[in-house]
Amino acid sequence: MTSLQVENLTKTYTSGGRQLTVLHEVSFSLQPADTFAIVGPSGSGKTTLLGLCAGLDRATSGSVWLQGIQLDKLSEDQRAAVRNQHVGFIFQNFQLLPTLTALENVQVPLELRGERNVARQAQALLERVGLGERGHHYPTQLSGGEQQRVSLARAFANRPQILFADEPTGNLDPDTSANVVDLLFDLNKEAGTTLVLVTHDLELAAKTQRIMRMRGGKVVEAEAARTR
Amino acid sequence: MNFSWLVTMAWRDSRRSRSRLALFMSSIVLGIAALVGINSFGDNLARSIREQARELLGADLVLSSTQPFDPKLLPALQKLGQTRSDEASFASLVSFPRTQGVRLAQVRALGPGFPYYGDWETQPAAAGAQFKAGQSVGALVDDVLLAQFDARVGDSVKVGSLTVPIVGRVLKTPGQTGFSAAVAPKVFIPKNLLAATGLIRPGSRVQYRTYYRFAPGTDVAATIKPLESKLEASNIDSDTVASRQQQTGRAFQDLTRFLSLVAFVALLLGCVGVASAVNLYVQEKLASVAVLRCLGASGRQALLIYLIQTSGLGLLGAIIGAALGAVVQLVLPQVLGSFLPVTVSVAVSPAAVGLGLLTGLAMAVLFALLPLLAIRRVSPLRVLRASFEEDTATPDPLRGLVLAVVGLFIVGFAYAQTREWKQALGFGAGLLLALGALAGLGLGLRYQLRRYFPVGWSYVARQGLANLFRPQNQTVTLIISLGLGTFLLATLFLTQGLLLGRVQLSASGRQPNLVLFDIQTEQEKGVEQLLAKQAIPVMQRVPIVTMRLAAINRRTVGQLRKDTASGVPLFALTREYRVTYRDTLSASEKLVAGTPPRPAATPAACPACRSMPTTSSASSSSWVIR
Ligand SMILES: Nc1ncnc2c1ncn2[C@@H]1O[C@H](COP(=O)(O)OP(=O)(O)OP(=O)(O)O)[C@@H](O)[C@H]1O
Ligand SMILES: [Mg+2]
Repeated sequence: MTSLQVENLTKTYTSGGRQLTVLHEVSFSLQPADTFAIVGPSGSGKTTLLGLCAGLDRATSGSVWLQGIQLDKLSEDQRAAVRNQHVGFIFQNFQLLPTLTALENVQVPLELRGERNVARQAQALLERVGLGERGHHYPTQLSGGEQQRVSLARAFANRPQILFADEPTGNLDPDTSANVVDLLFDLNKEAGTTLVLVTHDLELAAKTQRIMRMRGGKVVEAEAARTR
Repeated sequence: MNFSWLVTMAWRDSRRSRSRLALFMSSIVLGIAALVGINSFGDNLARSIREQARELLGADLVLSSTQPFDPKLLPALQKLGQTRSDEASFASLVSFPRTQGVRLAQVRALGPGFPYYGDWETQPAAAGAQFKAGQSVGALVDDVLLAQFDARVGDSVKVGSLTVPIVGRVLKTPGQTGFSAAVAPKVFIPKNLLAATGLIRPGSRVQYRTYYRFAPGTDVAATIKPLESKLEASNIDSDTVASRQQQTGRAFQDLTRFLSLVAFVALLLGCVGVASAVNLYVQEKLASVAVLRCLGASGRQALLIYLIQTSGLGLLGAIIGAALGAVVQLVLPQVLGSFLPVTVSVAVSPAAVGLGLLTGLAMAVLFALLPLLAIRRVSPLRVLRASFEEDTATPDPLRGLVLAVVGLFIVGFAYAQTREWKQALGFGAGLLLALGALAGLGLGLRYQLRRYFPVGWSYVARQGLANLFRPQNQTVTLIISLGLGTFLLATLFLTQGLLLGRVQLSASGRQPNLVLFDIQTEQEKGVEQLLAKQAIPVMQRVPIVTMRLAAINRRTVGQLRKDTASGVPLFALTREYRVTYRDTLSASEKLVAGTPPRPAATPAACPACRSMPTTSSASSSSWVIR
């Protein structure tokens, strides 16, 4: 089974009576445990594509299959359930819930699944990212790098089959970046998760098995899979 | 769905937004406090009136007339009940020889037995009981009157030609408020001393009353029903506990209605507060909601988290509000106490508290739900684009439903306060109209600003103005909430003005606030000096001559009395008239018929005075003073 399959995905925005096609017939597919980078200049449609793949948005035409489930046939709430079951997220600006402690933030995906004894699992994950002592801290009491590590722990909490990351190092300095990136790839390897990464950073992209370049909403170059 | 998780999330989420939520909660606290306080007070007032209406009357039935009861009726009246006592009351000058004070007072000559309900409150306490038992040898005098003339128990009081010792100071009599006592202070004398006053002469203005007490459970209305037409024919009024209760209630209806309007307005202001506080709160929470949605929470779960949060706080606010209201309700009777005909017992009204709690919860849920509904539609895409705006073009059917329930809530509540559908619906419609006008104003302002933006203005001014129409502006919401608040307060003040206008005779500065009666000719100089010393201007002096009729159209009173066909009632022929003369009419007087007095006429030349021979030489004047 393919982990992610995208076929002829097109996204068109209509604003002020004018049509703007920001994604044009994009297709690709990923096998489980693949690591995949989408690169391209600003405004080329990377984030738009990521949002569509993760079921956060609806395409104008084309289809997305995530773990064999066709997303465009589902309602908003059904897609939310799919995300909770199969998907993890990392964002450029971390997106931790500001009113929850680090530990509680990691617990949320598990709690949403209705699991019990989530605190223990969440604590273990926090320890894995080196923040075992910081569980009771609120996001505002953590540095950017620490917040991104908490969000890594949260992303892996529900043991996702596929992980989406949009500019995961965009807000971090190089040293912290390297630290977070290492952690991301290590966790990914351990869990055997498919990874979809959007970035400007070609060095980061180079760590993946496949790179897809975009410009103006179109795929300009799809590098074949290579083994690292 | 896991409810306890939703509660946990609601709790966690509230931790960092306590001050915001305090604003939300204070809206409910104040609204419910006003509601519970005022409704409790209203309930207490109604209950106290019910309980004390009998004490207010002092009997089960009172028959009263301005003439002695028709002797032909007496057997029937006696058959009505054995336990009864008679009273004759009239206004008369009373004097206190020791301190030489003279004042017009209401003299009540009472037979033993009264009051049957309630009791005298006198100093010494035994004086009242003695009086009631018919063993009193002297008068009971109102506290106010004694204080006024520095008189005390043991002094004597002179009523007409009767001089009796003052045996007690009256602090409270059944059916008397502090207010009415000040207007006409009372002197009580035993009925058997009435004749000795020498004041009961043909033509005297006397009110005759008989108080009845019936066996407990007697249907008083049914008992007097067969006599009704006869009583009416001989000008005898009947007053029962039920009718007294109604009258007292009616007298205070304006007050209770106004207070209930205050409560309603406070509550609506609270609702506006809730809706706008939650509206702002939701704006702040959009990012968090998007994250939750992204992690897999359904729209319903996200909504419920915040609904649980707001209703929990709403309930807490309602409880605090009800407690606060209970305190307000303790204070209200003290503020209004001396104007109320009954001592309002302060008991927390469970009905008012229950209604307050329910209303508080309903208001928290309904008015928070209105803005909260948007949470269901928050797109998870916001996690990728913070400024993403959801498609709000398609109408939300749930929103329509909530709006309908909100409308029902307001109209239903208005009905609960007024008990009249027409008023409730009218109020609802008015509110809707105001809401529509304000929303139109907000939208119009936004549109016009964008269209005619003052590009020439300074940077700060331009930025400030531009914020009114930029994305995520609060222009319409703010105009609606501030406008509705102002509208409601203005309504309240307008109503207050109308009500006060009804009780205020006139707000003009030319109205007197003091009238001095019965200034004897030899006292005039002294009073004048006194007023001059106090710098009190005299607005008008009214000379008064007490007269008795001698003849009408050359027919003497004696002739008229013999002529039963003359149609002139006896009392009109025999009573005393207080007559004045003056050269011009005052602004408050109107000439109904005849020619006005000639401006130049001196009192002696006044033609009316000449054609109205007087048999009395008593003359005095009243001075109107401000
Ligand atoms: N709601 C919208 N309405 C109209 N156009 C939009 C909307 N959202 C995004 N776009 C446009 O879609 C295009 C692609 O945006 P996207 O965010 O996917 O680019 P990106 O490749 O992620 O850029 P960056 O590297 O700067 O993050 C942009 O030109 C953007 O202006
Ligand atoms: Mg992007």
